[in-house]
Amino acid sequence: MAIASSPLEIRFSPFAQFVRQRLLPVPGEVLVHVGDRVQADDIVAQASLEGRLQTLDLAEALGVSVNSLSRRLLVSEGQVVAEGAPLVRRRWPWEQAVRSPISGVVQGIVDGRLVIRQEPELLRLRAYLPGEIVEVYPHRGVAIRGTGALVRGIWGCGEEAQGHLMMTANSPADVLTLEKVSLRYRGMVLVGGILEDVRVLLRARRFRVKGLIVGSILPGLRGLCERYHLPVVVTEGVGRIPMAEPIFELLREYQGKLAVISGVAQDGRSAPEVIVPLPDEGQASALMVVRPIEVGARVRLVRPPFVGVIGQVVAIPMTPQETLIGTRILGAEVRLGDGRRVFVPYVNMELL
Amino acid sequence: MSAERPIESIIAADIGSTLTHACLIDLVEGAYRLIACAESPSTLSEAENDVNIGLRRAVRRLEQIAQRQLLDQDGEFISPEQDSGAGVDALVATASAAPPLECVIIGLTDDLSIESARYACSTGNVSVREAIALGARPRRWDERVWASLHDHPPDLILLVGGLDTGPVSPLENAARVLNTIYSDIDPERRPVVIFAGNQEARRPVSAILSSSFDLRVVDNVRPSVHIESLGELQRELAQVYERIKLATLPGYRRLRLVCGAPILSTTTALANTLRFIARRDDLGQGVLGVDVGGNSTYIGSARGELYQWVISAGLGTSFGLNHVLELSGTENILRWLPVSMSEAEVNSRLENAYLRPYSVPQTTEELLLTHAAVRQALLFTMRRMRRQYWYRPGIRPEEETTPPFDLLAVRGGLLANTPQDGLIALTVLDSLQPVGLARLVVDWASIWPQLGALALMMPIAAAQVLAHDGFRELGVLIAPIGEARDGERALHLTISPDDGSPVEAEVPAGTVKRFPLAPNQHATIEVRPSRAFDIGIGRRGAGGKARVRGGSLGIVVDTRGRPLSLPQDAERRRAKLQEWLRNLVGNSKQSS
Repeated sequence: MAIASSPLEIRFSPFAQFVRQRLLPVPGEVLVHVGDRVQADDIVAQASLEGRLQTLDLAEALGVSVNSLSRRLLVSEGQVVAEGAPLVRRRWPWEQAVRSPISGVVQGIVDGRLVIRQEPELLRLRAYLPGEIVEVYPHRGVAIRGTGALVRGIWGCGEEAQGHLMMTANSPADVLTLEKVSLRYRGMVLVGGILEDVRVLLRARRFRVKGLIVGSILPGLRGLCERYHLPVVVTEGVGRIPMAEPIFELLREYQGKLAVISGVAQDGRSAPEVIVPLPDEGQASALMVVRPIEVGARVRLVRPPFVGVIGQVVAIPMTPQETLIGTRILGAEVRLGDGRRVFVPYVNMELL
Repeated sequence: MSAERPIESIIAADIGSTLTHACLIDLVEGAYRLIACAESPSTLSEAENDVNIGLRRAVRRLEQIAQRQLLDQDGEFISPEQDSGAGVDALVATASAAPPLECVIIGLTDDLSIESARYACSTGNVSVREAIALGARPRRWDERVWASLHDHPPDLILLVGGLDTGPVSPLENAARVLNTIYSDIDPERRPVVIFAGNQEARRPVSAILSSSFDLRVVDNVRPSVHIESLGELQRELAQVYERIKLATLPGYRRLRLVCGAPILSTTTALANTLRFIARRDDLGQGVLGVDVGGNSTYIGSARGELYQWVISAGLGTSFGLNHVLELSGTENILRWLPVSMSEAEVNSRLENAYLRPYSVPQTTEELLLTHAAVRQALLFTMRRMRRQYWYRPGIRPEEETTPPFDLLAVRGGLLANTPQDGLIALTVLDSLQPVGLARLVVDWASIWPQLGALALMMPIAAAQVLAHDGFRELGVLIAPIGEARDGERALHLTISPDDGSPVEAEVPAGTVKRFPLAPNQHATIEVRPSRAFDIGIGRRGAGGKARVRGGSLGIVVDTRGRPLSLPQDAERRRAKLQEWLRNLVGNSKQSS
């Protein structure tokens, strides 16, 4: 069977085994061991995060010059101060003091300003995915192996959450309207078709919906989505593109099941995702996110004139072919749903 | 790779943010020639996350084209070249795939040192996150600034300010503040600090910062009100980029091990090539080079020993498309489209192209839309070139024109892969707005930066490949400055080919036209402009003769005037754009 030299990324998998790293932003303590089984909410590692910095313009608050401030200071660098403790005092022409608004450590005094660092905060890192700890990175975190269904988004925002999947669309082309988001979906991850209205995000947040999975969003909404801190995963792109049928059907199949959603695109290039954890009965094979493409593969086309169209690879030419605009490039011949056979560059298709 | 025997064969690679290009160079009848070139998407995203994977895919493609084994079964480079012909003697690489340095500028005043620092940053792969002007005393260190610097340390802090005889204490204070902000942060996460301020402050600032930061001290960018000194800072910025950004590319260490020379940044290497072209061809008016990449746009001009350049980090044709859209606004992209399209449609298409950065246009509309975005990226970058290097007092920004150049050298994945040379020429004319007479060439093989890197190791090989195989000649552009009503006579053109009959033509104002002159065909042309136009001589109505060489487009005359202005009415504008495109694209063919 012909196999192309350029492998493609897959966008979803009905059942596979995958490994996710969970790493602390700063060195800390790992609380689990290799072989431990964890649930999504379990804490696997924790670290002490530096407290927030607060600056106080003492010279201005006291109405004195920067140079004369030092002799009025009551604290020094490195000193622990309690909330309300006096930091600086003057006695003339009247008694006046500036007190610390927080408890913390004096980090420095520069040019009339005092810098206090708040008490450190404890960061607890959750497992995110139910599974088995397969690797421990001392002081940094763990790798967890889980099994389930995976949908990789093309874009996402918001952080991680988990909730039961709930369909709000009957077909992939349905619009996720305001009316479809109601209080009964509190704590759930909603699957919609197309997101056109920013008020849907507001309402979803107000009703404490855990996340949204949509096929596409209208242009300009991405920036607004980022403001609402609600996990959103978009599977197809921008515009009115229906969710790919196989992805929609997969999510429908797991309606009511617990799903974890992550809108985080860590470096701006890695994909956001939705995972439906499923029990491993020894049949799951390791997920290959990048796979060779071969004749018979089902692909989704991503650039006009075929954007969102699903087809099947029917031939893999070994030499670059000419596109509709005359560019010569490597690609595959794809049969579309209407029977047409078209040449599509590899870079314009994704494996389904 | 070993260098025990003379180097005869080379793989020259460029790792871009979107595409990785690999070129095979070998000795053919005593001269170094380009044998084959291939490209593959760069592999920087999470699934693969190693630049070597994309490079090896491009090299596998080279193997198929050249019918020569270059990698062994394990995918390792075969080197040196074997008696069987397998493998190559050396590998050189350039890279632009790393994101730009994120920089915060801290200075005393907005209008002097900070402005100079901004200029220096615009010549490096540097994205300025924020510029903080402290004033005479650092009262601007508000809580937001403290928190931002502390919670999200930039890659680089550029501390500038003060004339060389100016006060020292504000800079000392700034240094103390930085010490305080980062005192509890892991040294590895602290930014690099470059001090480019008052020389008198060097010692006290160093005393405060050197034990806590990776501190670099360079010349004051503004030693006096009327003097700007950017050279040392520019060099330092390039070094910091190569050290802390390029070196952190996934797979960099493995790539470095197999390379015969240090991996240069693409822009540094491209500058070498452009300088070399200007010197080799003794081009009095120099070369204007353009590189529109996936995530940055670069313009450099080489005239004699003078080299001036600007990088717009984050503006490009794939990862940088979103930034082009944000910076330009949809309506400014839409104005370059000869077809009707709604703003929502423009936004959807560009946002989707940004979300799938490795994908390519597949329809004419998509190609035209991407070229519209390229025009905006180039216009923005040219504006910075004009402001920084070609500023003329008393001239309003909208009246600024580009100085004349002998050669326009353009490159970048999208431009090199555009099948219609006429569209490339129109994009160049619309955005660079050249004046006078200039040759237009394209880096069709995406090899110019690699040749700039190769030149450090094997200058003869680089020069020979550039001379024989480096250019696709599009032709000669003639662009007079002037204004006349559409349809009025702009110039009279006589083309006398060495091997054919002379051709005479009248070219009206307000249009773009081309006249055939085949690649490698030479001709003498005579241009006689009307009194309203100056062909770059400096006098309206003055004509001249020149020897020219043809290209895929021949001779292109642009009588639309400078600066170019488009009709306000959308229908009329689209009709004009269609006419210009039709005139240039016609039946043009590529020469390679």
